[in-house]
Amino acid sequence: MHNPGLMMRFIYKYRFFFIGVVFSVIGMLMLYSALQYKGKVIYQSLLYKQLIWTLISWCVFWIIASIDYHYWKGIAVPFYLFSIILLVLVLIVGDVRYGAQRWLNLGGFIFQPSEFAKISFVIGVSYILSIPRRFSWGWTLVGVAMAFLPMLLILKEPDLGTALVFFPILTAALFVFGLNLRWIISAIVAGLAIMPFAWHFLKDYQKKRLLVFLNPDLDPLGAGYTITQSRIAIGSGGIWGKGWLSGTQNKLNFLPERHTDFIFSVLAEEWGFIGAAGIILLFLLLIVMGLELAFRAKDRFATLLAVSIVVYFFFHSFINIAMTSGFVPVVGLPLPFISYGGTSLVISYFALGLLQSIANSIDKGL
Amino acid sequence: MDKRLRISILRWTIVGMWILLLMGLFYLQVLRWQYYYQRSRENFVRMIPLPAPRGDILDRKMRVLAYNTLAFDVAINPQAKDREVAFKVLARLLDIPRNRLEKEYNRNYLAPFIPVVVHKDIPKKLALKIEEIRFIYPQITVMIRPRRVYPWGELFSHILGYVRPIDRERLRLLKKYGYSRRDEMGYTGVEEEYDPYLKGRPGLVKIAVDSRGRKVELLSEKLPEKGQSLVLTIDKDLQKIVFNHLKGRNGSVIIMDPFSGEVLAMVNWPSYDNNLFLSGSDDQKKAAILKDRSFPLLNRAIAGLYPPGSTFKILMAAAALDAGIINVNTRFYCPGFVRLGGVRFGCVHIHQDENVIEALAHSCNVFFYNLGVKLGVDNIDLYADRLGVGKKTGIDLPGEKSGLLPGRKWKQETLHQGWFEGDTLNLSIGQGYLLMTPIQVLRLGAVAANGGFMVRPFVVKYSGDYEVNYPVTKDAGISKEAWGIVGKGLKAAVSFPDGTAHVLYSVDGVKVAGKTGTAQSKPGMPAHGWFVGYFPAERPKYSVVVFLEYGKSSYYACELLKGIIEDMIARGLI
Repeated sequence: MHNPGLMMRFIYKYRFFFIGVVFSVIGMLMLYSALQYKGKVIYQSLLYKQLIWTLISWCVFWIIASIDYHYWKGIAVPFYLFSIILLVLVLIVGDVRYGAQRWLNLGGFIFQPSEFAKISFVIGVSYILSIPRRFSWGWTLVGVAMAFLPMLLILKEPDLGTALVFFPILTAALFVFGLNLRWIISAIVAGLAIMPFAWHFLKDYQKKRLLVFLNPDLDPLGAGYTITQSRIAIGSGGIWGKGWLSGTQNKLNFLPERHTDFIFSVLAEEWGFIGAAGIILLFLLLIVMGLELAFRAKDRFATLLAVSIVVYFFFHSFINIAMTSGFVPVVGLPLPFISYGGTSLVISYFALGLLQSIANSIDKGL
Repeated sequence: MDKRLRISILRWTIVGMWILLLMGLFYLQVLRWQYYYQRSRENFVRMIPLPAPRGDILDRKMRVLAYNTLAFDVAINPQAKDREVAFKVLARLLDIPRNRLEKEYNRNYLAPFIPVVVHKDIPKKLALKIEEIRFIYPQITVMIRPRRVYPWGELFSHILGYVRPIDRERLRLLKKYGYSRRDEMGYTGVEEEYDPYLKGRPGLVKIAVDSRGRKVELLSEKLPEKGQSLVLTIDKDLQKIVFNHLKGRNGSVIIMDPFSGEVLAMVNWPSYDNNLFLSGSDDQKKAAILKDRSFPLLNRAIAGLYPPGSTFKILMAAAALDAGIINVNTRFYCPGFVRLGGVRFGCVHIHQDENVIEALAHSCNVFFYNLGVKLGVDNIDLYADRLGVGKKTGIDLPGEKSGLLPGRKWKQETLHQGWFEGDTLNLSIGQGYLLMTPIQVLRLGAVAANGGFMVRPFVVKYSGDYEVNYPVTKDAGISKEAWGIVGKGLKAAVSFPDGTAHVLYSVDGVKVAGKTGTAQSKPGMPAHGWFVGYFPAERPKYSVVVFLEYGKSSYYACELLKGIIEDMIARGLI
C-alpha cells in the first residue's frame, strides 16, 4: 500500500475498526498512566489483561464484521432470551463484589451479564421493531416490555447506571420506528414526575450518591471524596494538561477507581481541555459515522441497529464524562474502549463490528 | 415524519448535548483552572520548615556569650509500621513509662510524613546508640536541631535574654513579619530586641505526598541560613569583675563609655540562669525563678524605678549655674535644717557657709533647698527634661521604664492637689515623687563627665559586618562653664577628706569623680545607696552608676566601686 489514495480508501473501508484502534491506543496509554505509582507501573498484570482483552476484542470485531448483519435477525430473539436467563442466573449464583451481585464466574472466566444484555437488547429491539412495515402501538409495547424486563433484573443486582442505558436506546429506537415526538416528550416528563416516588425504591448507597451529587461537601471524605477529587483532577488539567504520566491527582493516588470508571479524569488531567475535547470529538465522529449508516441503510433493521448502537455509545460516553466532571450523579458507567474491563471492551467491539458489517453491505451496494 | 428527518433530529440532539458538555469542561478546565490547580497542589505539596541556627552573640572582644549546639530528639516515624514496638524499645532505652511516650506522640503528631518527637534532649551517647539500632527499628529516628547555649548563664542573662517557642499573643502581632507557630523567638534582652537579625532564615523542604499523606518524593530543599552574629559593646572581663563584686547584694551596676554611650558592663543582682528558660528545660527550676519575691528576672538597671536621692544634685547644680541663679562664688548658710510652714527639712550636718563645689562634695541638703526655691519647680522640670529625667534613654533593650518626673501638671492630674513649696524642696534633693532608673542616673553622670552631651546608651555594636549602632549625642543645652564647676564639685566629693565619696580617694593611681546618694525608700525599710560618677577624673573613660537596693548608705556603693576599680587596675583594664 504505497499509494496514499489506496491506503485512505482502505482506512475508510474499515473505518469502524480504525476508529476502535485509535480509541484502544488512547485507552492503553491512559491505563498505563493510571496504573503507575511512585514512577513505577504497579498492577502490571492488569495492563497485560487489558492487552489480551483488546486482542480478543479485535478478533470479535473481525468475526462480527465478516458476518452479514441479516444473520442476526434469525437469532435475535433467542439471543435476547439467553441474556435474560443469564441475568436471572446472576441474581442466583453471581459473585458479590462491592455489595452488588453483577458478575458470573464461569470457571475462572468472569463476566458481567448486564453488559451482554445491552447488546442483545440492541439487536433484539432492532429486530422486533423492524418486523412491522409501519408504526404500530402493539410492537411499540413489545419493545417497551423488552427494555423493562432486563432493566428490572439489573436494578435488582443492583446496578442503576447499566439499567438506565435501556431508556435512551429504547427511546431512540422508538423514535426512528415512528413514535410521535409528543409521546416521547410526554413519557420523559412523566418519568421525571414519578422520580420522587422512585426515590423509595433506590438502595441506600444510591440515595447517598444522589444527595452527594447535589452537594459534594456533604461528605467530603466519603462519598463526596471521589467526585471532589475527580473535579480537581479535571479542572487542574487546564488547557494543555500536566503531561502524560505527570498528573499529580492520578499518580499520587488521589483518584479512586481511576483505571475504570474515572479514567476520563486521568485523561483530562494529563492532556487537558485539548485532550478532553479530542476524545469527545472522537466519540462524536463515531456517532456521526454510525448515523450516516442509519441514513443510508437499505432496510429498517439496519437503520434501527445503527441508531441503537450509536445511542449505546453516546449514552455511555456522555454520562461517563458528565459524571466524572460532576455534572450528573455518579452512576457506574464505563467510558467505552478507554475504561479498564474486558466485558465492556468486547461488547463495544462487538457493536463496532455490527456497524462495520452494515457498512460493508452498504458500500458493496454502491 | 420521514426517517431521515428523524435521524437528523437525533443527530442534532446528540451534537447539542456534546456542545453543552464541552462548555462545562471549558468552564472547569479553562475558566476555573487556577482554582482547581491550586487545590491539586494543596493536595500533594507539603512543606516542612527546617529551623535556622540563631546568630552567635559575642562580646566587644569577640568572645562568645551565646552560641548553638546540637540537641538530639527521639522521634517516631508515623509512616513506618510497628509503632508499638518502637514505644516498647524507647521506654526501655530512655527509662520512661511507655504511656508518657504515647501521650507525647499523640500531642505532637502533625502529619503522616513528619516524624513525631516523643522525647526531647537526649544525651549524645544515647543518640548514637539509637542511631546504631536504627537498622533494626527503622521506625525510630533521632532528630537534630540547633539548641541555644549561654555559657555564662546568670552573668549575662539580663543583657542577653533567652529563646523559647513563640506565644500566642506575640504570634498574632508578628505573623505578618513571617513568624509562625512553633518558631523559637527571643524573649527579653538582646535576644528579643535583635530577634529579626539573630533568627536567620528557616529552610524549607517541599515534598510530594500521596493520598494517604505518605512521602513520595522530594520536590525541593532550601537549606536554612544562620542568623547574623551580634557583637556587643559589653566587655566580658569587666562584666565578670562587676558581677563578682555585686553578687549577693540586690542592686545594679552599669559602666558605660561617657562619650559614645557604649555600655561596657551591666550587672544586676539577683540574676538568673537563662539556660533554664530554653525549651526542654526543667520546669520546676523555672517556676522557682518566676515565683522568687526578689524578682531575679527584673533588669533593674533599666526597669527598676527608685528615688535618685542626692545624685539628683548634679542636675540641680548644673541648672542653677546655667540659669545664672548662682555662680561659683555664691554661698548659702547651712544651719543643719530649714523650716518651711512648720515642717523641718533636715540636712546631714551643719555645714555652715558653703559654695556649690563644697555643697556637692558634702551633699548639703540646705544648699540645694535654696537652689530649688530660687529655681522653682518649673525651671527644675525644664532642666530635668533636657537631661532625660522621666524619659527612656532609648537603650537597645526591651522593657526600659521611663521613670517619673513630677511637676505641677502631673500632681494636679494624678493627685488632684496643687504643688507645694515642700514638694520643691524634696525634688531638689532627689526625693519625693521623683523616680529614676539606674541607667538614667548613669547618663546624668555621663553628661557631667563629657561636659554637656546627652548620649544614647547601647549594648549592640555590630550585626554581622554592619554597624547597627553608632554614638548619638545631643547637646543638653547647659553651658560648658556650668559643667566645669559641677565637675569640680564631683572631684571634691572624692578628694575632700570630708567628701561623701572620700573612700574612693584611696584607690591607687586612678582618680574618681562622682556624687553619692542615700535615698529614702519605703517607710521602715533601709535607704537605697547610690554612687554615680566617672573615672579617671581628669580624662574620663568610664562613667559608672552603682545602685544598692535597700543598701542602707551610699558608703557601701562607694566601697563596692572601689573594689571594682582595684580589680580593673589589677586586670590592666584602666
